[in-house]
Amino acid sequence: MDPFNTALVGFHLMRVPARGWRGALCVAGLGLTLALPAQARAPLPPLPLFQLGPASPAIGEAKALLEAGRFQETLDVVQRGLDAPDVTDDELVELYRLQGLTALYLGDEALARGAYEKLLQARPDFELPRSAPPKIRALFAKLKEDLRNRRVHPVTLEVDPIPDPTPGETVEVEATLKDMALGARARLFYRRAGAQAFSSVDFTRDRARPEHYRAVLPAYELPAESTPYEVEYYFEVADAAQRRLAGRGDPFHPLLFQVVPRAAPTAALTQGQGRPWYKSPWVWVAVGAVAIGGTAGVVALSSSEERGRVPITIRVEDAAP
Amino acid sequence: MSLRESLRLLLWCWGAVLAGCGPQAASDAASLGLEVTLSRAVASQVGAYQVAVLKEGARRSCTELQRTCLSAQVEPDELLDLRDVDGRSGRTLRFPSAPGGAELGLAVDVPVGRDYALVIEALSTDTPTRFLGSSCNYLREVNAGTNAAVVAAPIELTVGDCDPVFPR
Repeated sequence: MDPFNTALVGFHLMRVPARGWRGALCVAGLGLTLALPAQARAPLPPLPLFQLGPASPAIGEAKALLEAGRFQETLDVVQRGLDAPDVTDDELVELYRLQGLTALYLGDEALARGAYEKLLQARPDFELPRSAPPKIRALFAKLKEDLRNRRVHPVTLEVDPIPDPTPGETVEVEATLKDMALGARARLFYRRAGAQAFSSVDFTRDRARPEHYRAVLPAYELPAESTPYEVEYYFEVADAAQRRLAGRGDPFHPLLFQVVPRAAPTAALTQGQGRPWYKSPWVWVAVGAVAIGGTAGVVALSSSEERGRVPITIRVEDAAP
Repeated sequence: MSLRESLRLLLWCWGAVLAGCGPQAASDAASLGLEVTLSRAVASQVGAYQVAVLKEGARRSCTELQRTCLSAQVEPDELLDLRDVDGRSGRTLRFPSAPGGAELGLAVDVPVGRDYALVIEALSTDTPTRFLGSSCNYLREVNAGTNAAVVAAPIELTVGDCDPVFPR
């Protein structure tokens, strides 16, 4: 039997409370089992991690091969599972666990190290069972220490600043992420300049090209307006504990792009269709001007019209002789 | 709101209403007008009268102002904006003389105020217009409404080679 199965039980139990009634049932069942006398206990069935989600067929096959001692074939199957599309994080964790264990059996410490490194990045609280061989436990402890001291390969993010986009159209951002940690998320944070909070969109991995990621800024976030406006943004890769692993820009020093209005007729059309007339600042500027002008006119009229009429009579007198 | 406060508010409103009542601030009691006497010898040469009102009349010397054209002695912005009964307005207003040198009655609307000097210049009939003489009179105040006529200084023929037209 896989020596890690006992650890898997513990790991599983750590995760189940968040899964509602199923978790509660699991805990109750375990408690009941432990309460029974040792002789009455039935052996616990292995609870692999991939049971938490849709199971990858490679996981079952790899486990069978590992138990049969066919290590090289196990590694091939694991690799096939890692390369498969739509692998969940839970499945990846299990695959890396199997890869690390198999690599240690084969004496390939570098491969084991890489596998456990990814596993620990995704599940920092993962622990080996006490029954694990001392060699494996020593390697595992060293890896955890490296991770704690950040001596693992840092995530590198390569992304270009976003050029000034066309209003009303989506913006696609391509990024290259190397040594991306398992469970980490790369996101594009953005906000209208002056707004308080950032919104975000996730980068998704390009299945065809490893290390290539893509984020899409929706068109409705960049509406066409009559006046230019600015959008602040930054990129960030954070691990499962929301620790920043890599990034470009940050909330205090964001990058910036400007959304300029389209050509005048288009802008006018969009404005006319997009928002009611009373929300146009120009309407209120005009209303304000009329109000000020009217008031000034009334004041001027009321003050200037105060006149007095002066009658003048011009008489002609005959010249004195 | 207490009864006392209500009464106070009522009195305040009543006072405000009363403040808007009554005749206009300018009453006709202190109004004034002008009578200008012209010798017939001069009147026969006069084609029009040009009327202007100067600010700060007290500091003017009417004797000096009558010596020559007003346009040669003051700046246009020293003149008040005038309006005649037909609605024409300007810093100076011209009124054609009565045929045969008859008595002429005219009126100008002047902004209500104090300390003015009213100058009436007699202009020739020929072209270009020549200055024949003027009458300068202090206007202590002009009230709203029609002011009463006052006797003004007579216009005497003056030899002056000047252009009475103010630049626009």
